[in-house]
Amino acid sequence: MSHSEDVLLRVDGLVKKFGELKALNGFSITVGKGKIVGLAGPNGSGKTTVINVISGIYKPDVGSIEFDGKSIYRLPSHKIVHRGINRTFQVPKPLAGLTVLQNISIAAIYGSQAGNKTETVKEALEIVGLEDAKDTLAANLTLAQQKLLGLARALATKPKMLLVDEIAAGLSSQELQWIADMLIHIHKSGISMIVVEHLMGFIDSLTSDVVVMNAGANLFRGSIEDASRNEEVIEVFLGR
Amino acid sequence: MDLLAYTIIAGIMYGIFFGLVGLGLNIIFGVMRMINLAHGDFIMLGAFLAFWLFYLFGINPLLVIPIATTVFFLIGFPLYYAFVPRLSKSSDPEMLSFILFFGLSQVIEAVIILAFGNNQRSIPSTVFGTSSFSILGQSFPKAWLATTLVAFAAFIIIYWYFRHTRLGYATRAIMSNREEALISGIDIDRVSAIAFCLGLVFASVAGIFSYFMIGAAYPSMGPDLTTVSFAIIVLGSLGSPLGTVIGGLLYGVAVMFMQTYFSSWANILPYILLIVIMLLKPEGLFGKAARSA
Repeated sequence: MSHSEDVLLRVDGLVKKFGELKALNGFSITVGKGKIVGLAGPNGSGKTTVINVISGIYKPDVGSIEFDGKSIYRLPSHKIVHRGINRTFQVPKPLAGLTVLQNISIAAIYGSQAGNKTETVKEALEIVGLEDAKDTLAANLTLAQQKLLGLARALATKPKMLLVDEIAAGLSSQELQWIADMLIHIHKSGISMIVVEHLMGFIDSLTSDVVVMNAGANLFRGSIEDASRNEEVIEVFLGR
Repeated sequence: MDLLAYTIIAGIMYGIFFGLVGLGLNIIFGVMRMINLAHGDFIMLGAFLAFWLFYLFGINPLLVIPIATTVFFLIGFPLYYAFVPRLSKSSDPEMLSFILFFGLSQVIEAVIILAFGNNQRSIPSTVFGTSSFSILGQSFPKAWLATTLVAFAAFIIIYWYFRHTRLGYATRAIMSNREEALISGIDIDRVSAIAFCLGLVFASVAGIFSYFMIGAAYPSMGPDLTTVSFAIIVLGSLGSPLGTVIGGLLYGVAVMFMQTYFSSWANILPYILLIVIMLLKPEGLFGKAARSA
């Protein structure tokens, strides 16, 4: 992990303030090429803010973000997308008035730099299994389908790294297993990931490497097994 | 009966023109979530551009359209990039956008008064010929026909832009959800700048033909037109450019009825419409379904 050529994403000392509130207070994380890292922590610990800052939705106040050997610190979102980072949203936000196919096509046209766009769109639809719903208006999809559409939209930009933000929330256990299998499949095609999740169980089915954060800063990095024995981790999760 | 038929037909033509008057304001609101309080002043600028080109070179208003398109794209881009990205980053973009565009409105009005004086200008409607044309036995000046056709063409163009061009889809994506658009790789500022320019162009085109539908142009006409435009887009649904057509038609027919039957009350119509809509159906007649379109 320490060899810089193996590191895809290196985030260091990130600070993000909202007025007086420091949502991120010196947060750091590294993700190796082809790896999945789980990001866990209690509600309000700043997990989603990390994703928002890395993907450029929010501009950080202090810190550094390097992706693939180049700084992406404070770049506009669309440029970060073009560098090869994409994400899903905890609450899916598809373009409601457009069809599934149109949603994915826009991402392929504006988000990916090279390759056959029609092929890219078709692949993304196949991976998430929305081929039959491709002409449905995004507004008429179920929550689970909207999450799949979000994933397909992200894949259509041909990312090197995917930031998955609490995709498990609100899904049944059957849907959870299905999504976990899908993410493993996507990972096998060579896409690195940060998987944000409130609960360790879902992360456990994807990776054993986990970062636990609290109050906008790092608390723990290591295996899930060790995390479950760590005093501090137990404390923030159980609120002793 | 003849009066009624005339009122309805004139109202529809009037309404199509007023759809064009509101169109640019609604495009800009839909994409940028900001009310361009200088909208009416851009209509006035279009009118003055048409007047001087006609007065100095005898250029027909129809030929002013491509000139205005070029001019307002050249004005719109620097104006957008000078102010809006900075505004979006501020702590309260909505409130500050009101102040910015109100200020812009004042500046435009003052500059035009300084340059040309606070006089009324007009282009005779005979520029489209002295003959009239008739619909269902009612006759109207040719200039009305030209204006209606131009406004109609503007709607076709904006419909085509939204439904059949890549840029149009990117624009709809931003209107639907900014974050989703960002993460799809769309350069929001570039697409918004184009939408801003389109908004100014449609305002200026409405200005070019305002002589034939609302009368003489003068430098301080802007704010009233902004109010009328605002009433129209609220009527048709904020943020839904095609809903503007319906808003315009309703306004146009209502104005014609007021002018025909209660002429002394006609000027307060936009305010009454605004209040009634805000009380009864604040999401506009088109509702939410059309907003995402």
